[in-house]
Amino acid sequence: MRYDVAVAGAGFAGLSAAYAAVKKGKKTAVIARGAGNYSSSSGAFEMLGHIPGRSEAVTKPFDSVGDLAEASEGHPYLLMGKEWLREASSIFLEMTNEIGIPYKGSPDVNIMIPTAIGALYPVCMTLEQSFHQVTEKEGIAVVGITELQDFFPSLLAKALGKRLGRDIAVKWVSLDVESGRGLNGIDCARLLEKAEIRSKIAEQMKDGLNHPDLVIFPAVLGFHHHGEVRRHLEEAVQAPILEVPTLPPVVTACRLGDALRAWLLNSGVDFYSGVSACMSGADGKICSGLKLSFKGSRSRVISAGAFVLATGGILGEGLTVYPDSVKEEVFDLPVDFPKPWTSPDFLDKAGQPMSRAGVRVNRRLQPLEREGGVVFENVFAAGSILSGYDPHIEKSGTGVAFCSGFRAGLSASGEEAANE
Amino acid sequence: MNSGSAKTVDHCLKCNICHTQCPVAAAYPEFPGPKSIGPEIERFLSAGEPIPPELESLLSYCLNCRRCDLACPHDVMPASFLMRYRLMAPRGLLTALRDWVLAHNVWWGTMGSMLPGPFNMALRMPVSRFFMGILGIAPRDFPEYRKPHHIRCQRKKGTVMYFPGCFARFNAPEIMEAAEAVLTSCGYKVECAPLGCCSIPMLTNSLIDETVKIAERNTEVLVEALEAGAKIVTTCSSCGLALKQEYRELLREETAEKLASSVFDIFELIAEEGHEPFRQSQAPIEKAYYHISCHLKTQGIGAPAASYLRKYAVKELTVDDRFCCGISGTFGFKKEKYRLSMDIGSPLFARIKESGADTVITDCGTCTLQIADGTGLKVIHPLVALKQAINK
Repeated sequence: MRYDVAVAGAGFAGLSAAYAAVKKGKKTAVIARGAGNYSSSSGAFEMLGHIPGRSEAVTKPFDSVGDLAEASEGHPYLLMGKEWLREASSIFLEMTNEIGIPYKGSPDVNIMIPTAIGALYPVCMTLEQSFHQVTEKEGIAVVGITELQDFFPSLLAKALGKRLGRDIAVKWVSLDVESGRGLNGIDCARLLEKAEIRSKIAEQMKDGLNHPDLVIFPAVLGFHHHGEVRRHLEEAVQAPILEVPTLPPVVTACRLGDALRAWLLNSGVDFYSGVSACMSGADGKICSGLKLSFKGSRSRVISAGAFVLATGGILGEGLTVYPDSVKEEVFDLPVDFPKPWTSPDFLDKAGQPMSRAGVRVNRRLQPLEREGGVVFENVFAAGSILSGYDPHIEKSGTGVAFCSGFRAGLSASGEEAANE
Repeated sequence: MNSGSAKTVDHCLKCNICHTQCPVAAAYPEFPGPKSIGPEIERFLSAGEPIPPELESLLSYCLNCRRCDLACPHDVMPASFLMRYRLMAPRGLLTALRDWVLAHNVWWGTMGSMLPGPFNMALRMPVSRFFMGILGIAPRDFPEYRKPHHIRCQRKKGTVMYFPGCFARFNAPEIMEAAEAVLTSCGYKVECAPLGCCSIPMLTNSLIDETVKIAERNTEVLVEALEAGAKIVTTCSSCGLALKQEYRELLREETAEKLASSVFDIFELIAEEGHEPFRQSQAPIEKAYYHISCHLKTQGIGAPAASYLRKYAVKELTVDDRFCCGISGTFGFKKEKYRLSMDIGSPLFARIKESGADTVITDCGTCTLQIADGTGLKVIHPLVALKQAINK
């Protein structure tokens, strides 16, 4: 099989690259070992929340991008340039509209969204209906679902109340479902899509809430029918609802990722799932194809004009850690890894050095040799496999995934991103 | 039974990504999902503990759709663990008998397709329904049995050994007919494999000895054909999965590995070899929905029929692989599972309605029955959708 663009990896970065290629009319394939590791992210678009080593959160991500140079010169944002981040952000908003999950916000300013333990988390874009600045709301109530595991409304209310300096009401509701086990976010979201269960929740929410300005609810407001579930419950409480991400799998992230994947599939992208890939051959600096193996079964080669590598970092297994080295095993690219590998302070404000391991790239996101030359002219890397940034400390995971993913997809389609 | 390539339970990070893909957990909250019933039981067993009884009774709810295997980014295969535990779970006598009856569709199909008229009538008689009910078979229509299509061998350059499977043979001869036409148009000599069932219905009904026997026999015959230079082709996604993956896990032999490396879905073969057996259909379908069945998705070959359907036979095609129809071969024919099986399928039925399509296309035989049941729409195999477009 021959494609214009072949993308390895089906997380946010890989799907964003495929989206760019489809937009440019390219015949595109996505190859992935698993379902794409987006279900562990928050579902919000975090561009930049912290500068490593500083304790205060970033309020204006676009203006603060330059400060990243203090910690890292090879940061993907600095390579791609500030103007690209602005452009990519507006492309992201257009994309969410196109796939039917509209987001809102801008890279100019962060809003703080509460977490399940009542901390405040800086993001710049989020689901339109969930875009509420919690710090500006007076009467806040937190609703918990008794069947939902690992979401404790009292903990959230107390910690958030302390941060905001006000009392936050707590209300428990029950799905009234006998399952014999604790339910996770995905389970609850699916149950809330059933009108009879939702009505029971709506009834319970009408009682005992004293006309709040904002209701905080675990992120379980439906899956495929999110709009319907939200409307029903917002009408019941007569207030907007802000969804807070639960433990993984996170419904808000699945909603976005699944919708994007479905849109791509419908636009003619071929998905090879459960498949691992490695380079099948190269002609000088031009890679010719990928050999796909399905769980060790028959392998076959697909060829493509250009490739995007978005297989993830250490957790996503795009990088494999050995006792004395770190390897990238699709193209066998050189991997930068910091020494020392870890910091003795587990919660070091500068981050754990290993988070910065990855493939070093140039401005066009082409992987580089140790000496600095381009490894392959037609291979572009994106997402967590890139070196020089720490998504956990910076709160920049989705931002890097989308901005580099879409850009790599453009480069692979033979288009140059603006503002090189 | 999990294959050598599946990683051990220690690679499970409990990230729950498998849970997001499980169609049973989605419709039946009692079902704890692949992580809890796969890797977590493995942890009990490896510590010498028995399978917890509250989990044991739920094992028969797994559809073996293998969406969880596909979802895991760390190569843990929960469904493979699960199929193994299922063999260890006890069953009542009547249930075992019912499962045995359902597992042997290949026998009833052979008889039914010899005398379709009387057989189909007998199946629909209230008295047959009554006894099937007692046995624990769901009150739903069985597919009509029909006279099989006979493939006439022609001398050509390459040979294909075609494994049609029970549904194409006994219930939908038009699939066999179209497969023959397409393969002939590609220049192949087509031979029909002198074999019956792929054994998946036996496996999912815990008839392990028989499953292994059939797997061994099928492997032997097909490997012989491929050693003589033939390519093995399937048109049913579950048969394809059996030949490509299940046999490797069951037999753990080199012959099964060899077979797996030379089995093709018919559209996979056309695409990979670059054949052009199609031209523009003169009577294209206006609006169709292409349901990528679980066992097609699980083969890791993408959905090679989709681009041919779009190009030659359907004006507006919706493609989706997110939903399971819920029938899982014989699962939906079991009385106690029938309602649940329709519930599992209901998001798919809703999605089809929402797409506005009046024709549904899918590669899987039992998906065909379930979707027709759930939507009332016409459901056809992609080869049949492309019938008017085959180059003669």
